[in-house]
Amino acid sequence: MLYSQRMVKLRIYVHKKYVKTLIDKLHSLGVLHIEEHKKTDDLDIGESMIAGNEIAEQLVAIRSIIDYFKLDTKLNISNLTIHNVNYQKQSFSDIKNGIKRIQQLISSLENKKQDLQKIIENKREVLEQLDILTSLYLDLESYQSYKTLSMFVGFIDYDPKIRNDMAELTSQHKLHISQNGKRQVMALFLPRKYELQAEEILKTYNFSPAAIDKVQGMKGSPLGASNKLKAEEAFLNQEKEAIDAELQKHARQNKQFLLTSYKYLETESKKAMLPLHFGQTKHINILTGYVPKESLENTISSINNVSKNSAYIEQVEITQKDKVPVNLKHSRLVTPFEFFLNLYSLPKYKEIDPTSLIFFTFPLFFGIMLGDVVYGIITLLLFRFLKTKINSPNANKLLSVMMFASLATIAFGFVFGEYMGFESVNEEIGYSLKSIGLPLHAVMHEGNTVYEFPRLLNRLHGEMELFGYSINTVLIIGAIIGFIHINLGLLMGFLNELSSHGFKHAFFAKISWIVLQLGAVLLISSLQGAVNLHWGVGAGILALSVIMLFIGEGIIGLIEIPGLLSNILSYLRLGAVALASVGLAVVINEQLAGPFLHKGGVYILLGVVILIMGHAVNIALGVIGPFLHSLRLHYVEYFTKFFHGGGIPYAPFGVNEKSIKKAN
Amino acid sequence: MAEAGLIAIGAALAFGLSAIAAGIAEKQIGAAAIGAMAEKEELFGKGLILTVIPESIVIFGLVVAILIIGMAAA
Repeated sequence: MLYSQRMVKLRIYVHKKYVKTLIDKLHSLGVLHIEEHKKTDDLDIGESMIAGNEIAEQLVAIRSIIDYFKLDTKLNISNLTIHNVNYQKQSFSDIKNGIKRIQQLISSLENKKQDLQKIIENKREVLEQLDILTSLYLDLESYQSYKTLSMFVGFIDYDPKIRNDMAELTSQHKLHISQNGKRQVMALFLPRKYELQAEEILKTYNFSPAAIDKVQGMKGSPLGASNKLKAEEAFLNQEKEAIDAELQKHARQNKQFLLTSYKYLETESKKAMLPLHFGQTKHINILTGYVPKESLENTISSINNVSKNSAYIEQVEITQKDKVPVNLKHSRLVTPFEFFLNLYSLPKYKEIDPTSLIFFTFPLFFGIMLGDVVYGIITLLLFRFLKTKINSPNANKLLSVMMFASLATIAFGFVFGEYMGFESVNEEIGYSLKSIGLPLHAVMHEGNTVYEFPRLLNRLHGEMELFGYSINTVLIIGAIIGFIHINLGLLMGFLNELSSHGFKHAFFAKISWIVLQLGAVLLISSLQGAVNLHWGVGAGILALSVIMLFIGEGIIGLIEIPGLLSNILSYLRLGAVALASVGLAVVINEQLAGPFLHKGGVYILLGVVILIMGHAVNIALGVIGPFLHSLRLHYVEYFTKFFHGGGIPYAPFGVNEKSIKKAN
Repeated sequence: MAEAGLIAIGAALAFGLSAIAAGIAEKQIGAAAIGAMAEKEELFGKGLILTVIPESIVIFGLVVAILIIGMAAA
């Protein structure tokens, strides 16, 4: 509970001829977290299996096919592996042939498509040229190459003067000008000897020639030819779509095969590459890894089985330097709270895993801050609803956490007697509620009788006398919780240091803080006269703790002393955020909506709208604020007392439903 | 009555000024945290924590404001 799953470090020496069967076995066991072997002078790293290259080749091929078909690999693969298909039944040569068949299929269809595309593009070019000529109303025969005539076809900036200019040049010309879309298109025919002069004139009208090479040799009107071409193009497009549809059909038909084969190849490739993590001598492979203690026996017997008892398995003692993988293990209730460590950092193997404690403290803090029965019910339903809508495992964990927090909110709502910020109801409603058996009690408030909800603590107005000041009770509760929580953290720090640095260091570095608090409390209360003790006792303990701290943590520890006070005072936020939350709710009820509700008539409607909007905003703030503050109290104030983090997640080699789920 | 007004102003200043201070502090941390997250998404958790550290300032302001208002009631 307080530690991650216990691991055993194994070193396995196995003859190379058994490596393949061993890897297959390890893969199906799915419990060994393999540690990479670093190349040394004595021990080289292993070589991947011979089949590895071929598998990698097929993997690339199948990936490109899956990409081409735009199949969704991630989702389907995990579904397929977990639920229906046993991909391991397929043989490698089947897969290889299948991939080849699909590749050929794709390439022949793709070639056909490209040929069609080329023809279509060609036709489009002709169409574009025809389109320019359509507006000129000349038959296509006119645009041949002539022996004695020069021909200009293109766009100009039209000016009527061009006709005069041409007439001045020669009367032997034919000039057609018409509008084509936004531009003017022109065709000019004249004897070849005037070609240069005509070109000069056209230049002044910004003539730009249009390409008409594709239409030469065609006959009839441009419009007729264009319509014919368009019909042909439409037909070709249909053919292309038919090919696309065929590809789609093949994608559907082969989806199962492709995805299962992909998964198969992926695991086989991982297996083939695994020896790269091993050390090797001429005949022997050496692998190091970690298994959970509970799977140890099974693992050892399985290895002995596949290696015909020839493998030598050594249990190596775990030392400080080892990077032992961390697998948090909790009951189903507590598991969602692993979210907080995943977000921050996993504890190291020897460190305390605080998840089970966060399971209590996080909802507690959240509940104190939000603490309202109706708000709690609304957020509970909201998070339950979101949980059905959202599939990501991390978000799901968070939502479960928030549902626990909502339950705590409801509980504290009863403690504070708050229902949407209302602490009491008016006489009529109160009387009818009381008559159906609810434990309300009547009190006088500003001359009116109101019925108050039962409660243990008045959050908004409850006050306590402390050293002559009256202070809100929730603030004091906050500080007390902070005091307990921080000291809990210090004790956990003590345990952590005890296991990593021994008793002396743990005592001076962590217990000194607790002694420091004791001294400070004694000093203050004796100075205030709360306890009958000379102030020197407290001061002495304080001085002693400072010396202990200096031994334990050095100068840095001394610098941190004021930090401890601000850490504890930081828990005042539990009360402060609580007051802000309920304060806002009261303002919405009494100041914003209240006046409208009292006016009656149509105004009631307006008042209700204000109530709904106001409380929606307050709930939104009331979820975000307490969540962040509660999170922060854990991470900043609490974790710094004991938590180092930096653990590596336990990632065993092989098929493991859980690891697949985690990876997605 | 005039005294109550001054107390209210005092409480408002305590809360408002500390909120501004927290805002200024969080602005820079937040920007840096988003920058770091753009490079490496796993830093979201740490970025969030660093960003809310100055939140203490405004909480202390709020606590002081509540204590000041408590004085007014006394």
